[in-house]
Amino acid sequence: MIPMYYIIPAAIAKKLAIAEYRYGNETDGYLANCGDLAGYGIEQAISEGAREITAAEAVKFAHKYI
Amino acid sequence: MKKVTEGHIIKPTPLETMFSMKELYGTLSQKYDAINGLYIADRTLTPFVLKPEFSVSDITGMIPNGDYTAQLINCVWTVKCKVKGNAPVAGKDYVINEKTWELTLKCNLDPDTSGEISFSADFIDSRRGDVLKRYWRGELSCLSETQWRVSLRTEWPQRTNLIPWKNRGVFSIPVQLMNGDQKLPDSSSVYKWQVFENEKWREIDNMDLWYREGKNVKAISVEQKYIQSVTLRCMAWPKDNTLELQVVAFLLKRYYGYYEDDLNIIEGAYIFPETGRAVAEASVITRNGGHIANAEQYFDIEILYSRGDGQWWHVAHGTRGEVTRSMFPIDSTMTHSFAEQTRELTAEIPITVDGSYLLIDGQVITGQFPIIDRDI
Repeated sequence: MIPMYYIIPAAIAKKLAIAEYRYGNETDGYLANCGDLAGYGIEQAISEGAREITAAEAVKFAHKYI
Repeated sequence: MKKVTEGHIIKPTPLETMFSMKELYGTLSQKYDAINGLYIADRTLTPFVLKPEFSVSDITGMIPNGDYTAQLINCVWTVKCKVKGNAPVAGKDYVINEKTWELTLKCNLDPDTSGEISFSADFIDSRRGDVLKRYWRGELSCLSETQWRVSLRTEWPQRTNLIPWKNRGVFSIPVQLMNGDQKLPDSSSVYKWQVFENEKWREIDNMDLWYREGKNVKAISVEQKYIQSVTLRCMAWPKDNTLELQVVAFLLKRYYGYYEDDLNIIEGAYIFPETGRAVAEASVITRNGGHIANAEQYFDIEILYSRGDGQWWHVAHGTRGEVTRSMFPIDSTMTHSFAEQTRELTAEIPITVDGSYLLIDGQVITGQFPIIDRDI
Protein backbone atom coordinates (compact mmCIF):
# COMPACT_ATOMS: atom_id res chain seq x y z
CA MET A 1 0.00 0.00 0.00
CA ILE A 2 1.37 3.41 -0.97
CA PRO A 3 1.80 5.64 2.07
CA MET A 4 -0.89 8.27 1.98
CA TYR A 5 0.62 11.25 3.76
CA TYR A 6 3.91 13.09 3.75
CA ILE A 7 5.40 16.05 5.52
CA ILE A 8 7.10 17.99 2.77
CA PRO A 9 9.60 20.81 3.13
CA ALA A 10 8.26 24.30 2.54
CA ALA A 11 10.40 24.56 -0.59
CA ILE A 12 8.52 21.71 -2.25
CA ALA A 13 5.16 23.08 -1.10
CA LYS A 14 6.03 26.34 -2.79
CA LYS A 15 7.10 24.65 -5.99
CA LEU A 16 3.80 22.79 -6.05
CA ALA A 17 1.90 25.93 -5.05
CA ILE A 18 0.05 24.06 -2.36
CA ALA A 19 1.30 25.83 0.76
CA GLU A 20 -1.83 27.95 0.84
CA TYR A 21 -4.06 24.87 0.85
CA ARG A 22 -2.16 22.59 3.17
CA TYR A 23 -1.65 22.54 6.91
CA GLY A 24 1.83 23.40 8.09
CA ASN A 25 4.34 26.21 8.03
CA GLU A 26 7.81 27.10 6.85
CA THR A 27 9.44 25.45 9.83
CA ASP A 28 7.41 22.29 10.27
CA GLY A 29 6.83 21.72 6.58
CA TYR A 30 3.45 20.99 5.08
CA LEU A 31 1.13 18.03 5.16
CA ALA A 32 0.64 16.64 1.67
CA ASN A 33 -1.02 13.55 0.33
CA CYS A 34 0.34 11.18 -2.27
CA GLY A 35 -1.86 12.79 -4.93
CA ASP A 36 -0.17 16.13 -4.30
CA LEU A 37 3.19 14.54 -5.01
CA ALA A 38 2.11 12.44 -7.97
CA GLY A 39 3.37 14.89 -10.54
CA TYR A 40 6.47 15.86 -8.61
CA GLY A 41 7.52 12.34 -7.80
CA ILE A 42 7.44 10.81 -4.37
CA GLU A 43 11.02 9.56 -4.66
CA GLN A 44 12.13 13.00 -5.71
CA ALA A 45 10.26 14.60 -2.81
CA ILE A 46 11.79 12.14 -0.34
CA SER A 47 15.25 12.87 -1.69
CA GLU A 48 14.54 16.53 -0.95
CA GLY A 49 13.49 15.93 2.61
CA ALA A 50 9.87 14.79 2.47
CA ARG A 51 9.02 12.03 4.87
CA GLU A 52 6.13 9.64 4.91
CA ILE A 53 3.87 9.53 7.94
CA THR A 54 0.96 7.42 9.05
CA ALA A 55 -2.63 8.58 8.93
CA ALA A 56 -2.57 8.94 12.71
CA GLU A 57 0.53 11.12 12.53
CA ALA A 58 -1.12 13.17 9.80
CA VAL A 59 -4.11 13.81 12.07
CA LYS A 60 -1.81 14.88 14.87
CA PHE A 61 0.12 17.18 12.58
CA ALA A 62 -2.98 18.75 11.05
CA HIS A 63 -4.56 19.35 14.42
CA LYS A 64 -1.77 21.73 15.32
CA TYR A 65 -3.08 24.03 12.61
CA ILE A 66 -6.82 23.43 12.59
CA MET B 1 -45.41 64.55 -44.71
CA LYS B 2 -42.97 63.81 -42.04
CA LYS B 3 -40.38 61.21 -42.96
CA VAL B 4 -39.54 58.74 -40.31
CA THR B 5 -36.25 57.00 -40.49
CA GLU B 6 -35.91 53.83 -38.42
CA GLY B 7 -32.54 53.57 -36.66
CA HIS B 8 -30.62 50.40 -35.86
CA ILE B 9 -28.58 49.99 -32.72
CA ILE B 10 -25.56 48.01 -33.64
CA LYS B 11 -24.32 45.97 -30.69
CA PRO B 12 -20.72 44.83 -30.58
CA THR B 13 -19.96 41.22 -31.40
CA PRO B 14 -20.60 39.00 -28.35
CA LEU B 15 -17.62 38.19 -26.21
CA GLU B 16 -15.96 34.87 -26.51
CA THR B 17 -15.85 33.46 -23.02
CA MET B 18 -14.37 30.45 -21.40
CA PHE B 19 -15.65 29.20 -18.07
CA SER B 20 -14.22 26.21 -16.29
CA MET B 21 -13.89 24.75 -12.85
CA LYS B 22 -10.44 23.58 -11.85
CA GLU B 23 -10.26 20.69 -9.42
CA LEU B 24 -7.15 21.17 -7.36
CA TYR B 25 -5.44 18.90 -4.83
CA GLY B 26 -8.11 16.25 -4.89
CA THR B 27 -11.13 14.95 -6.72
CA LEU B 28 -14.88 15.11 -6.44
CA SER B 29 -15.02 11.44 -5.61
CA GLN B 30 -13.61 9.97 -2.44
CA LYS B 31 -13.00 6.48 -1.24
CA TYR B 32 -13.51 5.22 2.23
CA ASP B 33 -11.40 2.36 3.48
CA ALA B 34 -14.05 0.63 5.56
CA ILE B 35 -11.57 -1.76 7.11
CA ASN B 36 -9.26 0.83 8.54
CA GLY B 37 -11.81 3.62 8.82
CA LEU B 38 -9.80 5.95 6.61
CA TYR B 39 -10.81 8.36 3.88
CA ILE B 40 -8.72 8.39 0.73
CA ALA B 41 -7.90 11.21 0.71
CA ASP B 42 -9.09 12.69 3.95
CA ARG B 43 -10.22 16.23 3.16
CA THR B 44 -10.05 17.20 6.81
CA LEU B 45 -6.29 16.71 6.49
CA THR B 46 -5.65 17.68 2.88
CA PRO B 47 -8.55 19.82 1.64
CA PHE B 48 -9.87 19.75 -1.90
CA VAL B 49 -10.11 23.00 -3.84
CA LEU B 50 -12.44 24.03 -6.64
CA LYS B 51 -11.35 27.09 -8.52
CA PRO B 52 -13.62 28.82 -11.08
CA GLU B 53 -11.89 30.39 -14.03
CA PHE B 54 -13.54 32.81 -16.37
CA SER B 55 -11.78 34.48 -19.25
CA VAL B 56 -12.99 36.61 -22.08
CA SER B 57 -11.81 37.42 -25.52
CA ASP B 58 -13.21 40.45 -27.29
CA ILE B 59 -12.56 40.51 -30.99
CA THR B 60 -13.72 44.14 -31.11
CA GLY B 61 -10.92 45.05 -28.76
CA MET B 62 -13.25 47.15 -26.62
CA ILE B 63 -12.18 45.35 -23.50
CA PRO B 64 -8.86 43.66 -23.00
CA ASN B 65 -8.72 39.92 -23.30
CA GLY B 66 -7.87 38.00 -20.16
CA ASP B 67 -9.03 36.55 -16.91
CA TYR B 68 -12.19 38.09 -15.50
CA THR B 69 -12.89 35.69 -12.65
CA ALA B 70 -12.58 38.48 -10.13
CA GLN B 71 -15.25 40.42 -12.03
CA LEU B 72 -17.86 37.71 -11.72
CA ILE B 73 -20.87 38.82 -9.75
CA ASN B 74 -23.75 37.12 -7.98
CA CYS B 75 -21.44 34.22 -7.27
CA VAL B 76 -23.14 31.46 -5.34
CA TRP B 77 -21.69 28.19 -4.21
CA THR B 78 -24.08 25.45 -3.14
CA VAL B 79 -22.83 22.35 -1.38
CA LYS B 80 -25.30 19.56 -0.77
CA CYS B 81 -24.04 16.42 0.92
CA LYS B 82 -24.04 14.55 4.19
CA VAL B 83 -21.25 15.12 6.67
CA LYS B 84 -21.71 12.94 9.71
CA GLY B 85 -25.38 12.89 8.90
CA ASN B 86 -25.76 16.64 8.60
CA ALA B 87 -25.53 19.30 5.93
CA PRO B 88 -22.06 20.82 5.60
CA VAL B 89 -21.47 24.06 7.44
CA ALA B 90 -20.06 27.05 5.57
CA GLY B 91 -16.89 28.35 7.15
CA LYS B 92 -16.19 24.99 8.79
CA ASP B 93 -16.77 22.25 6.29
CA TYR B 94 -16.09 24.47 3.33
CA VAL B 95 -14.60 27.90 2.92
CA ILE B 96 -15.16 30.34 0.07
CA ASN B 97 -12.56 32.87 -0.95
CA GLU B 98 -14.59 35.90 -1.93
CA LYS B 99 -11.82 37.37 -4.04
CA THR B 100 -11.01 34.37 -6.17
CA TRP B 101 -14.28 32.48 -5.58
CA GLU B 102 -12.28 29.38 -4.81
CA LEU B 103 -14.06 26.90 -2.62
CA THR B 104 -12.01 24.80 -0.24
CA LEU B 105 -13.80 21.63 0.80
CA LYS B 106 -12.57 20.49 4.21
CA CYS B 107 -15.04 17.75 4.95
CA ASN B 108 -15.54 14.11 4.03
CA LEU B 109 -18.80 12.79 2.75
CA ASP B 110 -20.42 10.06 4.74
CA PRO B 111 -19.42 6.70 3.27
CA ASP B 112 -21.59 5.45 0.43
CA THR B 113 -23.34 8.74 -0.06
CA SER B 114 -23.28 11.19 -2.89
CA GLY B 115 -23.82 14.90 -3.06
CA GLU B 116 -23.83 17.86 -5.32
CA ILE B 117 -21.79 20.96 -5.54
CA SER B 118 -22.61 23.84 -7.82
CA PHE B 119 -21.43 27.31 -8.66
CA SER B 120 -23.33 30.02 -10.45
CA ALA B 121 -22.13 33.47 -11.40
CA ASP B 122 -22.94 36.34 -13.72
CA PHE B 123 -20.75 38.50 -15.85
CA ILE B 124 -21.92 41.80 -17.24
CA ASP B 125 -20.83 42.47 -20.78
CA SER B 126 -20.81 46.22 -20.39
CA ARG B 127 -20.39 46.76 -24.12
CA ARG B 128 -23.69 45.16 -24.90
CA GLY B 129 -25.39 45.38 -21.52
CA ASP B 130 -25.79 41.61 -21.53
CA VAL B 131 -25.72 39.47 -18.43
CA LEU B 132 -23.80 36.31 -19.11
CA LYS B 133 -24.85 33.55 -16.76
CA ARG B 134 -22.44 30.77 -15.99
CA TYR B 135 -23.12 27.59 -14.09
CA TRP B 136 -21.12 24.57 -13.05
CA ARG B 137 -22.25 21.50 -11.25
CA GLY B 138 -20.31 18.55 -9.93
CA GLU B 139 -21.22 15.34 -8.24
CA LEU B 140 -19.61 14.46 -5.00
CA SER B 141 -19.38 10.87 -3.97
CA CYS B 142 -17.82 8.67 -1.38
CA LEU B 143 -17.60 4.96 -1.96
CA SER B 144 -16.74 2.47 0.71
CA GLU B 145 -14.06 0.14 -0.39
CA THR B 146 -13.46 -3.15 1.24
CA GLN B 147 -10.98 -5.40 -0.44
CA TRP B 148 -10.57 -8.53 1.56
CA ARG B 149 -7.28 -10.35 1.52
CA VAL B 150 -7.60 -11.62 5.02
CA SER B 151 -5.05 -13.74 6.75
CA LEU B 152 -4.27 -14.64 10.32
CA ARG B 153 -0.66 -14.01 11.07
CA THR B 154 1.41 -15.35 13.90
CA GLU B 155 5.05 -15.80 14.59
CA TRP B 156 4.29 -18.39 17.23
CA PRO B 157 5.24 -21.91 16.05
CA GLN B 158 2.41 -24.32 15.50
CA ARG B 159 4.06 -26.83 17.80
CA THR B 160 5.74 -25.70 20.98
CA ASN B 161 7.75 -28.05 23.12
CA LEU B 162 7.52 -26.88 26.68
CA ILE B 163 10.60 -28.09 28.46
CA PRO B 164 9.75 -28.34 32.15
CA TRP B 165 13.06 -26.99 33.45
CA LYS B 166 12.88 -24.02 31.10
CA ASN B 167 9.70 -22.71 32.60
CA ARG B 168 8.03 -19.89 30.73
CA GLY B 169 5.51 -19.33 33.52
CA VAL B 170 2.51 -17.49 32.09
CA PHE B 171 3.04 -16.71 28.43
CA SER B 172 0.99 -15.32 25.59
CA ILE B 173 0.39 -16.61 22.11
CA PRO B 174 -0.28 -13.63 19.90
CA VAL B 175 -1.99 -13.65 16.52
CA GLN B 176 -3.00 -10.80 14.26
CA LEU B 177 -5.74 -10.59 11.69
CA MET B 178 -4.46 -8.92 8.54
CA ASN B 179 -6.02 -7.60 5.40
CA GLY B 180 -3.29 -7.63 2.81
CA ASP B 181 -0.30 -6.25 4.65
CA GLN B 182 -2.38 -4.07 6.96
CA LYS B 183 -3.34 -5.05 10.47
CA LEU B 184 -7.09 -5.14 10.92
CA PRO B 185 -8.00 -2.92 13.85
CA ASP B 186 -9.05 -4.82 16.95
CA SER B 187 -12.34 -2.93 16.93
CA SER B 188 -13.21 -4.48 13.55
CA SER B 189 -11.98 -7.96 14.31
CA VAL B 190 -13.30 -10.94 16.20
CA TYR B 191 -10.97 -13.45 17.84
CA LYS B 192 -12.09 -16.64 19.47
CA TRP B 193 -9.89 -19.33 20.98
CA GLN B 194 -10.94 -22.94 21.49
CA VAL B 195 -9.36 -26.10 22.80
CA PHE B 196 -9.41 -29.56 21.23
CA GLU B 197 -10.60 -32.26 23.56
CA ASN B 198 -12.26 -35.65 23.06
CA GLU B 199 -12.03 -35.38 19.29
CA LYS B 200 -13.77 -32.05 19.09
CA TRP B 201 -13.24 -28.35 19.58
CA ARG B 202 -14.86 -26.78 22.59
CA GLU B 203 -15.00 -23.46 24.37
CA ILE B 204 -12.27 -22.70 26.86
CA ASP B 205 -13.55 -22.29 30.38
CA ASN B 206 -12.17 -21.47 33.77
CA MET B 207 -11.81 -25.13 34.63
CA ASP B 208 -8.99 -25.28 32.09
CA LEU B 209 -6.29 -24.65 34.62
CA TRP B 210 -3.72 -23.76 31.98
CA TYR B 211 -5.89 -20.87 30.78
CA ARG B 212 -5.20 -17.43 32.16
CA GLU B 213 -6.92 -14.85 29.93
CA GLY B 214 -7.58 -13.65 26.41
CA LYS B 215 -9.85 -16.31 24.93
CA ASN B 216 -11.72 -13.58 23.04
CA VAL B 217 -8.83 -11.35 22.06
CA LYS B 218 -5.83 -11.70 19.81
CA ALA B 219 -3.40 -12.99 22.43
CA ILE B 220 -4.26 -15.81 24.75
CA SER B 221 -2.32 -16.27 27.97
CA VAL B 222 -1.63 -19.72 29.30
CA GLU B 223 0.46 -21.13 32.13
CA GLN B 224 3.07 -23.73 31.36
CA LYS B 225 2.95 -25.71 34.59
CA TYR B 226 -0.58 -26.90 33.82
CA ILE B 227 0.11 -27.89 30.23
CA GLN B 228 0.62 -31.54 29.45
CA SER B 229 -0.65 -31.45 25.90
CA VAL B 230 -3.01 -28.72 24.81
CA THR B 231 -4.18 -28.10 21.28
CA LEU B 232 -5.60 -24.65 20.77
CA ARG B 233 -6.99 -22.90 17.81
CA CYS B 234 -7.69 -19.30 17.16
CA MET B 235 -10.56 -18.44 14.88
CA ALA B 236 -10.64 -14.86 13.66
CA TRP B 237 -12.65 -12.90 11.18
CA PRO B 238 -13.49 -9.31 10.28
CA LYS B 239 -16.48 -8.23 12.35
CA ASP B 240 -18.63 -7.56 9.32
CA ASN B 241 -17.49 -10.45 7.18
CA THR B 242 -17.71 -13.86 8.75
CA LEU B 243 -16.97 -15.44 5.37
CA GLU B 244 -13.36 -14.41 5.85
CA LEU B 245 -12.94 -16.71 8.84
CA GLN B 246 -9.31 -17.65 9.40
CA VAL B 247 -8.06 -20.39 11.67
CA VAL B 248 -4.69 -21.27 13.09
CA ALA B 249 -3.96 -24.11 15.50
CA PHE B 250 -1.22 -24.52 18.09
CA LEU B 251 -0.01 -27.59 19.90
CA LEU B 252 1.57 -26.97 23.28
CA LYS B 253 3.25 -30.05 24.67
CA ARG B 254 5.22 -30.81 27.80
CA TYR B 255 8.45 -32.15 26.40
CA TYR B 256 11.50 -33.72 28.00
CA GLY B 257 13.60 -34.36 24.94
CA TYR B 258 16.78 -36.35 25.33
CA TYR B 259 18.23 -36.78 28.77
CA GLU B 260 20.14 -39.34 30.79
CA ASP B 261 19.97 -40.14 34.44
CA ASP B 262 23.14 -40.60 36.38
CA LEU B 263 23.97 -41.92 39.82
CA ASN B 264 27.12 -41.44 41.81
CA ILE B 265 27.96 -43.12 45.06
CA ILE B 266 29.55 -40.29 46.88
CA GLU B 267 30.16 -42.08 50.12
CA GLY B 268 30.66 -45.73 50.99
CA ALA B 269 31.38 -47.14 47.58
CA TYR B 270 33.91 -49.35 49.21
CA ILE B 271 33.22 -50.75 52.59
CA PHE B 272 35.89 -50.30 55.19
CA PRO B 273 35.58 -51.19 58.85
CA GLU B 274 34.92 -47.57 59.68
CA THR B 275 32.43 -47.00 56.87
CA GLY B 276 29.21 -46.02 58.60
CA ARG B 277 26.97 -45.32 55.66
CA ALA B 278 26.68 -45.23 51.92
CA VAL B 279 25.30 -42.23 50.06
CA ALA B 280 24.31 -41.92 46.43
CA GLU B 281 23.32 -38.85 44.51
CA ALA B 282 21.16 -38.97 41.43
CA SER B 283 21.16 -36.41 38.68
CA VAL B 284 19.74 -35.90 35.24
CA ILE B 285 21.89 -34.73 32.38
CA THR B 286 20.64 -33.07 29.23
CA ARG B 287 21.86 -33.66 25.70
CA ASN B 288 24.44 -30.91 25.98
CA GLY B 289 25.85 -32.40 29.17
CA GLY B 290 24.35 -29.93 31.60
CA HIS B 291 22.90 -31.10 34.88
CA ILE B 292 19.27 -30.17 35.40
CA ALA B 293 19.05 -28.18 38.59
CA ASN B 294 16.39 -29.36 41.04
CA ALA B 295 15.74 -32.38 38.86
CA GLU B 296 13.32 -33.77 41.44
CA GLN B 297 10.90 -30.98 40.47
CA TYR B 298 10.57 -32.46 36.99
CA PHE B 299 11.24 -36.14 37.55
CA ASP B 300 10.09 -38.73 39.96
CA ILE B 301 13.48 -40.03 41.09
CA GLU B 302 13.62 -43.13 43.21
CA ILE B 303 16.88 -44.37 44.65
CA LEU B 304 17.23 -48.07 45.26
CA TYR B 305 19.82 -50.08 47.07
CA SER B 306 20.98 -53.65 46.70
CA ARG B 307 23.24 -55.68 48.91
CA GLY B 308 24.24 -57.69 45.85
CA ASP B 309 21.79 -60.46 46.56
CA GLY B 310 19.50 -59.55 43.67
CA GLN B 311 17.03 -57.77 45.87
CA TRP B 312 16.47 -54.00 45.60
CA TRP B 313 15.35 -51.84 48.47
CA HIS B 314 13.68 -48.49 48.18
CA VAL B 315 15.90 -45.93 49.84
CA ALA B 316 14.60 -42.53 48.91
CA HIS B 317 12.56 -40.38 46.60
CA GLY B 318 14.69 -37.50 45.43
CA THR B 319 18.24 -36.98 44.37
CA ARG B 320 19.93 -38.27 47.49
CA GLY B 321 19.77 -41.74 48.98
CA GLU B 322 21.49 -42.96 52.10
CA VAL B 323 21.82 -46.34 53.76
CA THR B 324 23.36 -47.07 57.12
CA ARG B 325 25.85 -49.78 57.81
CA SER B 326 23.15 -52.01 59.24
CA MET B 327 21.87 -52.47 55.67
CA PHE B 328 25.23 -53.39 54.21
CA PRO B 329 25.80 -56.97 52.98
CA ILE B 330 26.54 -59.40 55.75
CA ASP B 331 28.60 -61.44 53.34
CA SER B 332 31.66 -59.32 52.69
CA THR B 333 32.24 -60.98 49.36
CA MET B 334 29.10 -59.34 48.06
CA THR B 335 29.17 -55.87 46.49
CA HIS B 336 26.49 -53.40 47.32
CA SER B 337 25.12 -50.97 44.77
CA PHE B 338 22.66 -48.18 44.19
CA ALA B 339 20.30 -47.69 41.30
CA GLU B 340 17.91 -44.99 40.33
CA GLN B 341 14.67 -44.98 38.51
CA THR B 342 13.88 -41.70 36.87
CA ARG B 343 10.39 -41.11 35.55
CA GLU B 344 9.06 -38.02 33.84
CA LEU B 345 6.35 -36.19 35.69
CA THR B 346 3.15 -34.92 34.22
CA ALA B 347 2.20 -31.27 34.35
CA GLU B 348 0.07 -30.19 37.29
CA ILE B 349 -3.16 -32.00 36.67
CA PRO B 350 -6.35 -31.63 38.65
CA ILE B 351 -7.22 -34.36 41.06
CA THR B 352 -10.74 -35.58 40.55
CA VAL B 353 -13.16 -37.41 42.78
CA ASP B 354 -16.03 -39.10 40.98
CA GLY B 355 -15.27 -37.02 37.92
CA SER B 356 -15.30 -33.70 39.78
CA TYR B 357 -12.34 -31.57 40.68
CA LEU B 358 -11.22 -31.84 44.25
CA LEU B 359 -11.40 -28.40 45.81
CA ILE B 360 -9.98 -27.04 49.01
CA ASP B 361 -11.09 -23.52 49.89
CA GLY B 362 -12.35 -23.19 46.33
CA GLN B 363 -8.96 -24.01 44.88
CA VAL B 364 -8.54 -26.94 42.54
CA ILE B 365 -6.10 -29.42 43.95
CA THR B 366 -3.51 -30.58 41.47
CA GLY B 367 -0.70 -33.03 41.42
CA GLN B 368 2.14 -34.25 39.26
CA PHE B 369 2.44 -37.94 38.59
CA PRO B 370 4.98 -40.16 36.83
CA ILE B 371 3.92 -40.84 33.29
CA ILE B 372 4.97 -44.50 33.43
CA ASP B 373 4.48 -47.16 36.02
CA ARG B 374 7.20 -48.06 38.46
CA ASP B 375 9.39 -50.75 36.97
CA ILE B 376 11.10 -52.72 39.68
